[in-house]
Amino acid sequence: MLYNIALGLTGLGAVLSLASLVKSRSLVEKMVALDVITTLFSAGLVLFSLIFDSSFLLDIAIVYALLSFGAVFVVARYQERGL
Amino acid sequence: MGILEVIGTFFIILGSLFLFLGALGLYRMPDVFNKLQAGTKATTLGFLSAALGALLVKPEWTFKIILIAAILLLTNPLGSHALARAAKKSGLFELGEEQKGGEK
Repeated sequence: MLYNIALGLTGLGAVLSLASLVKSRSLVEKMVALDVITTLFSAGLVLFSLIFDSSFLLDIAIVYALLSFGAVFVVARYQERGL
Repeated sequence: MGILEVIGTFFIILGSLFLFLGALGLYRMPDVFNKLQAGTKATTLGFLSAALGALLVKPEWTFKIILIAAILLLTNPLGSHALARAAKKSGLFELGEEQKGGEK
């Protein structure tokens, strides 16, 4: 039960970050919102692996965090001086 | 329900509360630097607290949970710093009106 409450709070935060992503206009603000969404989804994957009692979702969370790191670095470099 | 499970559930609820508050700060803050400050730090702390709770609930997944917590703890401040430096060097974002008035 309590895991579901935690998952609901995380999902509510993801909805707020999505609203911030749509509302903001510049590229860097959108990328900040996407970074927060990725962290929230990784936490949601950890909570899902607790709820379903299966540990392979943790591997997906690891790969997801690494891919988000690469995407954030590429966008930051593009905003700084072009590709 | 053992004592470790109770403590782990408490940490998971605390971490999800921090995640929600970080997203709320991201939604409310006006500037890109304020958004970075509110969004990245609080969500990193919330994720680490939730991972600690998951580690206490399921002790047999210790290696994977420590690995993902270490990856997130390494990469999240690096990405935040790169975004802040890009926002500063691109020159599109100035300080707020209040701070400008203070500088004059």
